[in-house]
Amino acid sequence: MNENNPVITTENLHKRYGRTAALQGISCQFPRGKITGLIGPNGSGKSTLLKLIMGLIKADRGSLNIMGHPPGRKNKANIAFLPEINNLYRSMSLQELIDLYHSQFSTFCPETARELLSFMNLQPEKTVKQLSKGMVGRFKLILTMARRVPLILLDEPLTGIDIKSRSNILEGLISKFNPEEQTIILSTHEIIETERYFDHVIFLEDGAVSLQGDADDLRAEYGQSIQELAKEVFV
Amino acid sequence: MQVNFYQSRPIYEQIIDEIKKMLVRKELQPGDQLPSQRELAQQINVNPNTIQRAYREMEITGLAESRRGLGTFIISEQDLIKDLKEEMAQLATQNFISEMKSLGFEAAEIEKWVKQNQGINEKKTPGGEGNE
Amino acid sequence: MRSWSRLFIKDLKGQLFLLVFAVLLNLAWQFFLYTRYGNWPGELAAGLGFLPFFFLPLLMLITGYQSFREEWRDETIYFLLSLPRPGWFLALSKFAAAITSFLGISLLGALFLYLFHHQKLLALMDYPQAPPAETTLKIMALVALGYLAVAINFFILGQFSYLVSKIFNRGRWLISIVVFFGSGYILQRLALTLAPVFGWVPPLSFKVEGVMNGQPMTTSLQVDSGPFLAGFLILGVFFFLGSWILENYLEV
Repeated sequence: MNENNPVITTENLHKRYGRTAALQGISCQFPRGKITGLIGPNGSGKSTLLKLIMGLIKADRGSLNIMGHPPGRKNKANIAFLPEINNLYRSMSLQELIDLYHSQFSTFCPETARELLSFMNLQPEKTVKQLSKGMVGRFKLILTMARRVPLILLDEPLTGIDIKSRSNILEGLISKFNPEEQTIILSTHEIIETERYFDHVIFLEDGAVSLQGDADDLRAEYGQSIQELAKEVFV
Repeated sequence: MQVNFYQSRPIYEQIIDEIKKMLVRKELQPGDQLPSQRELAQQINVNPNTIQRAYREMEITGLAESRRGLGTFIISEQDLIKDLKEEMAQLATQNFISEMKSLGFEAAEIEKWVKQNQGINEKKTPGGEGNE
Repeated sequence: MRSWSRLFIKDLKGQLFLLVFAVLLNLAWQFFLYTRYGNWPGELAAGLGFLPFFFLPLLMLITGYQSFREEWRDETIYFLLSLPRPGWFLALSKFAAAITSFLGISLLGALFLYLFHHQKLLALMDYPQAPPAETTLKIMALVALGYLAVAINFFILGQFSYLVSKIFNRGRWLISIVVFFGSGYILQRLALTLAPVFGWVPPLSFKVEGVMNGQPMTTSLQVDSGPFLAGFLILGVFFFLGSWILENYLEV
């Protein structure tokens, strides 16, 4: 239904860091209202692509269109980005950070944040410094999911999170997802736990798209899980 | 509904299969209302779009129908369960036969195997629906 | 407005440690000098009380340079650059926090100076009695404004130098130094060149009345406002240029 109105379109997108080409002419589309899995090994360009969409880095060449605009300030209000790194102020407490995000983003819902805090067993008075890596990962996710925005970008949201918490977290994510208003793009190299949620998948390797399509259609066509498919695609 | 999904088959198909099994096991009746897409997605921990696809597919194949403003319902067809049972029996049998043939058995031997195992009751493992 | 003030408070809290440290250090220094009154010539001890004020502009330079450097270091720049805000919005909150901190340190510094040394300082001046408060205040106000201008100057150019150097991947230190001195030089030259544009603004003038060598005396001081206004204008240009680079050119 939304095939003709993709939320993001890229054409011949190039980005290099020094002598390394991170993206080599990516042309693809991300369908609206779906959860797209951006899959690939480390260094394949997933983070680079997400950062380009967010406008945190600039492309060398090619076009990138997000909800009708190029990356920039207009889009930032409508995109929630979860980076792989820890982008939180270490000395602030979780509650202070929630207040900070609330003051900066009109789409931020402090009630949702509070709800998710207790769902994930985090204490608001603790400072970021005092948290374990897994807790930081969970909290970053809370800050992202508490925003009611049309586009959510998650860059390796599961790294550092223990196996037991992962299904918990993915459940929480799905429960908040509204396909009529939102699109989620999730980049990961851990496919086993996440593939059941993907509507669409894009395989990225060495900065190029190896394969893309509807997840269930790919399963039917190849008779394999996405994980198994990935093993074959990524030589 | 308790489902463990195989990732190598389209998930929406597995959902439809599970609903069919529930009908055959009388856990669901013809004419029953299916949970809302959102509810079901939460219940079995699946992307709501996948549920949408499953429901749409069931409407296309005539297994379910959507009533404006009310939701999605299994059709109230009398023979529905009978038809489903036949459909699923056919599929199970075909799978069994092709499995046996791939092991090298001929038709007569296959019949013998079926007769041999007639009397044995299947033990239900706890919460074991959908486990093979 | 609320979102800016929230950022400002965050940056102000970040300055807190520095503020407390600087004030305590200053206090300790003034107290130390106070204890030297018996051993050292009074004028020296009191005069050295001004020493901390010479370091403050340097502190503003460092604060300006560090304002975004620490965001990159901690990777919190990802947060700032994800905000749907123009570059100047972010740069302004850091500027306001630094200047507030500066005002706090200087005011407290002046207070300590007064508390510990005011008698000795008065003795330094040539007047047999304290000059009229009005005159002293006027001079002090002028000095304070000039001092604030220097602080603003150092902060903005420090911040600008870092942002420009961040465009490059190597040799950042060298580039920063070049940009800092270069922009300072440009500032001076342009300020003088553009000063006539502000010729219509009346100069700051004040009469200073006092007693010198036993004779009542009146002098008139005039400070041309043109170069200062032009200077602020050019500082503003550097500020917005740096902000533009931050928003449109730099990468996380």
